[in-house]
Amino acid sequence: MDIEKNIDISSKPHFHVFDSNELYILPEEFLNNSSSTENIYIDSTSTIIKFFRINKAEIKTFDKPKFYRQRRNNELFLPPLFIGYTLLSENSTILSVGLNILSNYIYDFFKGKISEKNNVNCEIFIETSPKKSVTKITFSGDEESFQKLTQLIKEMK
Amino acid sequence: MSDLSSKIEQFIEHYNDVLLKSQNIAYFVRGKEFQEREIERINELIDKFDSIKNECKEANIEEKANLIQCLKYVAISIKNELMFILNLKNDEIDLAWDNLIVAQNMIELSRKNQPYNRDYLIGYQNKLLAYEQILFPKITFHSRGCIVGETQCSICNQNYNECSHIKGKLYMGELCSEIIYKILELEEVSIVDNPDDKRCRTISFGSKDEMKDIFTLRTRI
Repeated sequence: MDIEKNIDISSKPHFHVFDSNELYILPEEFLNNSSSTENIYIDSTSTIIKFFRINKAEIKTFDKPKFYRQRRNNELFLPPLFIGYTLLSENSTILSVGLNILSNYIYDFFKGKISEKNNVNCEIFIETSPKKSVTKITFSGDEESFQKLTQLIKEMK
Repeated sequence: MSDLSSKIEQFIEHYNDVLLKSQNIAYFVRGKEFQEREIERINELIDKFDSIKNECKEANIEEKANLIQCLKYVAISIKNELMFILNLKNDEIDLAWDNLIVAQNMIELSRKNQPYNRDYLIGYQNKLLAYEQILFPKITFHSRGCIVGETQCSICNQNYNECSHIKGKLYMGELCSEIIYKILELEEVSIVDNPDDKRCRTISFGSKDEMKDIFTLRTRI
């Protein structure tokens, strides 16, 4: 797991559109992407949104996904996520629900598989100062390690 | 409803009876003639699944319809295990590999969707994995990376992004798949250790003058 702190987003207008009380799915390569015309989402995006819907919770997307990147690999690639400042600092219960739903999705994805390596890959952007800075977590590990990551995020408020 | 329940019970008894005998034949050393006959018996069993599943669907009992489909997956898996053994004996190694992977995939689907106890299949699933690890060399696989646009749900035929069905899950005994009608861009073909489909694999290596089969090391024409 790599943690990059204090990434300056003050000059990245595409980071300024978020409601800081929400959890978002981002298109890939979002950090350095200033154009919204060709946003490409990871194909697990659709199913994750359905999981949230089934659990009567909400996760937003940066924009309406039109294109999806598929990797026919047995590893799980989660879409990049954005956790708003207010969500983390003042609504940790809602954040907790969101992270639990993600954990359920991961569990469901690997259900039935016997693999030497059930790997999860994801990037998470956590807004540390509204519209000014984010911490970026790049994660690659198994289900159990992802649980520890979600715990780490909950404790970051 | 009780007629259907007793029908399902009787079917499961018959299913258990057939597959218990099949598993006793699914050893490499058993005679080929017994294994071939067992494949025919399983085919006869497989032919019976859809009608009982349809009765469950008509009675709107989703859990039972899904259970029947999961049992069908197990039957197909054991059939493919037998075919795998026969193809090994017949020196049809490429076919044997495909049979093994189908067997593995069917058990995975069954475990994923079993409405009741899915852990009883873990032992069998490990057996199928052991075949792969013991009988075959470690090989590399291929995974495509591509960009797709709108896709369709196989259950409701709606845009997959809009409906409530989840791919890989059973709904009234039918498997939800995401149907891609258009690949907008093929970005890459990667060499991976852990692919989605182990039938997408390296088949040979060497130079243009001589390619050798990855499994048998024979020259591939």
